[in-house]
Amino acid sequence: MNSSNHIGSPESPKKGRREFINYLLGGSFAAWLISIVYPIYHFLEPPKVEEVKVSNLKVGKVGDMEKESGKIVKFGSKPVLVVRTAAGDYKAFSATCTHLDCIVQYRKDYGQIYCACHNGRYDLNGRNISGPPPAPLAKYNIAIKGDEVIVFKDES
Amino acid sequence: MENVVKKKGYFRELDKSLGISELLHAEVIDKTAPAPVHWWDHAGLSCFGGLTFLFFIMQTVSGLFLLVYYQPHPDEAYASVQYIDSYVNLGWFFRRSHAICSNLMMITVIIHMLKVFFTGAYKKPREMHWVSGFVLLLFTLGACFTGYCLPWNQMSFWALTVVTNSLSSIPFIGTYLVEFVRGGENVTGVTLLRFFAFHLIIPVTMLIFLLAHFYMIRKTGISEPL
Repeated sequence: MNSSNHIGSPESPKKGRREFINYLLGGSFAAWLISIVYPIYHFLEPPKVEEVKVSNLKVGKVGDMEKESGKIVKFGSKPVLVVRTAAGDYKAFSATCTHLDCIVQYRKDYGQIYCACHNGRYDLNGRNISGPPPAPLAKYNIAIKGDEVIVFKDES
Repeated sequence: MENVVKKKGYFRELDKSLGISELLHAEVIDKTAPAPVHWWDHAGLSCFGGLTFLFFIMQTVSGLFLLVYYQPHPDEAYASVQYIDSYVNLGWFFRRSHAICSNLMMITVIIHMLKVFFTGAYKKPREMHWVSGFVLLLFTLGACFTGYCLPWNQMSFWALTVVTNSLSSIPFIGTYLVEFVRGGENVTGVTLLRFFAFHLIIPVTMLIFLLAHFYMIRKTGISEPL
């Protein structure tokens, strides 16, 4: 091919038109690509789930839990650890470890709250006392109405 | 090398390593299509093989993304399909296009086969093109039917029951075959999981036959006008 007088050559006087067509084609290709990629991205986005707002939760009668025991309850979409201390008091904390989101448990043998993932420990006030957790557990409130134990969270 | 598109930087380097524009020119851009001769060429009937492949690609893409939400379990399948239809963003679009394109693919397959048959394009030296194409027809039917069973609604369930039962009319091996495809004596959750697996295995196997089908056509060229 002789490139000096070929229409597509850079020296050609038709260069402007050819470039314009190239941009047009490139632009159309980009638009086409977006029209495919965007719906796929949108499809993969997790659909919004209507969350049920929970402001308080009955966890049972006062005598239901043994002293020095704990149990995990579902407070809306979040796990909450309810602990009954040796003295018989109830306490509630977010059960999500502040380190890497594992679920903590009450350990009777330690008398502490324990995270099995990386040996993190919290005392019964939710303070991080040993291991990797960087912050204390979030507190939930306990109310006892009659003999019903209720967990609730301050709205603030 | 004259044809290699002169691009700058990364594109040129990539192109040099992969030889994409060279391949594109040799196989697509500089390849001349035979001029239309007969009315069926003018009517575009020669496009239906390519259209079928286009649908195959669309089915693969939409199907792969439906996998993200579909749950092949008898308790969950129907609910997950309803979830796709009513909650997933554009879920209805992906599911309906997967279903509609499967029907359109059957139509294009049949038109493609009719055209090849009535124009005699299957004749020597293209016998194996027809044979591989027929195998592809069976795979397409298989993919459509296994897909039909996956929503696990009444239609799916009874279609599955009736169609698998019809295999029992095959002499000698019929009853064994029914049990084989059902994964047991009756249509159960095991059958659903099997058909889900078949629905994935079939297209993968199909790809091998498709590549063979295309390679043959490239080798012999398309049938000359009669």
